Amino acid sequence: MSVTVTAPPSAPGGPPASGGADRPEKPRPSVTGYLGLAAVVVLLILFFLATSSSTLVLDIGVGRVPLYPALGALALVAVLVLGWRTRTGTLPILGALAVIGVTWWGGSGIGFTLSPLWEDLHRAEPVLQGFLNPNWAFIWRVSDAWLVTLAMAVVATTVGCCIGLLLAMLASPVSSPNTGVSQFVKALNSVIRSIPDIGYGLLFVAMLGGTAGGAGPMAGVLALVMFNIGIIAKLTGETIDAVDRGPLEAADASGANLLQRDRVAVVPQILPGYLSYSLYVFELNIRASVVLGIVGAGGIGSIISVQLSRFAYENISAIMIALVVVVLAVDFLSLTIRRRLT
Amino acid sequence: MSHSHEPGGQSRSSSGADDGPRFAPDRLDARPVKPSKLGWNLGMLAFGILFIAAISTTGANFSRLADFPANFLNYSTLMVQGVFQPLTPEVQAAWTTAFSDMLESVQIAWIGTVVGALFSLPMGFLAARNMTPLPLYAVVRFILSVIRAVPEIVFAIAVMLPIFGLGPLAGALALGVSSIGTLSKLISEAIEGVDPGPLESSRAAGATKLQMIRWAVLPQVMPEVIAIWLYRFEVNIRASAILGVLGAGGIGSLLSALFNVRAWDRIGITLVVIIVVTIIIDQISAWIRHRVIHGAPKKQVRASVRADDSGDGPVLGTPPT
Repeated sequence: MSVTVTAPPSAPGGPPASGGADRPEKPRPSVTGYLGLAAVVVLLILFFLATSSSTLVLDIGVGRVPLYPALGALALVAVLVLGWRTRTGTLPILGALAVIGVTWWGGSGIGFTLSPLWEDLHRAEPVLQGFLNPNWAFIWRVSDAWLVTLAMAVVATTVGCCIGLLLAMLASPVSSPNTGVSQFVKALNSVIRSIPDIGYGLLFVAMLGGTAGGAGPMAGVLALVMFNIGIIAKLTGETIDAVDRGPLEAADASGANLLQRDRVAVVPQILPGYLSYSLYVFELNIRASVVLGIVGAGGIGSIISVQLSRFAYENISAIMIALVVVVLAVDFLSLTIRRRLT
Repeated sequence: MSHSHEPGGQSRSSSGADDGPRFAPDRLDARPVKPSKLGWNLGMLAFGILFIAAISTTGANFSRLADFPANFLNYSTLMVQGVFQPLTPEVQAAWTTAFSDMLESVQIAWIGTVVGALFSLPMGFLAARNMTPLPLYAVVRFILSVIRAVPEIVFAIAVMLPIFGLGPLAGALALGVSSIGTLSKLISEAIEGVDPGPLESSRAAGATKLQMIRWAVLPQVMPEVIAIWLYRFEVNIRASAILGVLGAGGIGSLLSALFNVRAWDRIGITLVVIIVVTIIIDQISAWIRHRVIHGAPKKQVRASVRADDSGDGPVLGTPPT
């Protein structure tokens, strides 16, 4: 992939095949492989025809063909021809065809169209009007909610990152007691990671009671903690897998037990990376707490949710602008700290 | 006195003990002084104070936490019972709904990623310092950091939902726009990290800017770019759930509807579907990423070499019978 040898004839008039005596030629891909690809293309075109819901047709000389399947077929054939011309192997072309196929599947599944962009643009006008005239005074009226959001992010980051570090250490074969524990914790981590933050938000709000019940921030913090555990365990786990084995060996040789070994040989190596991931997670938490607030988990998101239901877009606009500023500030702050750390 | 009995150490100890200069450790001989931990400790102290202040600021009601374990056990039991209940037509319908809604979320995430990917490659080149003149670079970088700072729900609420209406399309486009920021940043970093050798040689061979990108940069960064796109797809699957709660369809809409009526058995089913589908997609995506970055597994390479050998082989190997 990295070494690409082109075969355009440098000597004028020399055909590429015969003129290449002194330079290596890229081998031709297998014909049978490409026949297989052509079969895949035919199948995909049939799939396009079967799933197309649009009635638009294109008038070509000999007859009328449905527009969107025709475009899709054109893309498929173009990829195939281009692949053959550039002598690309079978597998990358298969990948490209698969991408086109999945994109068709997704696009037809969600009814992809861009026509509202020029037909219904006016519908966005009142909203954008509100957004372009932010109600600045509103930012200060909700400063309490801002503080709660920041505090939630701090608490959740601290707790979540501590638990996340523990789980990451247990999951990595480098630092865990045995393979059984490592496999189990790895599976646990991917289960924790697979539920989106909003899922945790809904779950804990349902279990504890939301803003109405006075337990919003508690539920929000718990949801953020679970969200952070997933991210930190994944990122830190990858760092732990890649540590230098020298210190580990030295610790083993001097008779350290598992805890001592992890303490002196693993933690110092991963600490800079871990702290910078934690700061990254802190940023994520501020964004996520907006979302969690919408499902009733306290903080600035609750305010957004209320204003949204009142269609008070100028208030939302003010909050959003403040949010962008806060996110940028935290981004900058964590960048400075990260520079100091590494 | 005693040193005279030791035959080996005689000369050294006699000169050291009696009249020679005694060993006097100076600063260079001392053990290294431990670096001061004052800064670290102060930092930790400050952080501790911040943490406690934060806990009190959240106003979290800790008495609620007392009955949390009981609640948790109670609801978890309900969910597990929901998952393992006999497959009546109703339950089957619940599984099917959860699965098709999850697929819709995947579709939203995929279209969002494709939209983001289409824009992110050119934006990535414009945001790479070694590809773009400084003024343009600064402008593009600024735009990207603003896009990254705006959460996707802002795009959804402010722009996409009003124009495209409540539905999966609005969610996909909101995800697409917010993907552009992160994707372009990561891609531009990959481009900035390319080996300058091919760039230089293509410039020496008189390549235009476009030819340089095609022949010197793209072959180097493409595997990494594909990995970045796939990673973003995984992120977008989770993010699409968020937009679903706002009414953009998919698994998020289903979850929030179920939580509204506290249908714990169906919530359990939906969570299982989310976990299983997400893990499967993560595994596939991780496999493709590994394959794209590290190439074909070693075994296959060896097999193909052997096949080539045997292809050449007949000339030498097969005995003429």
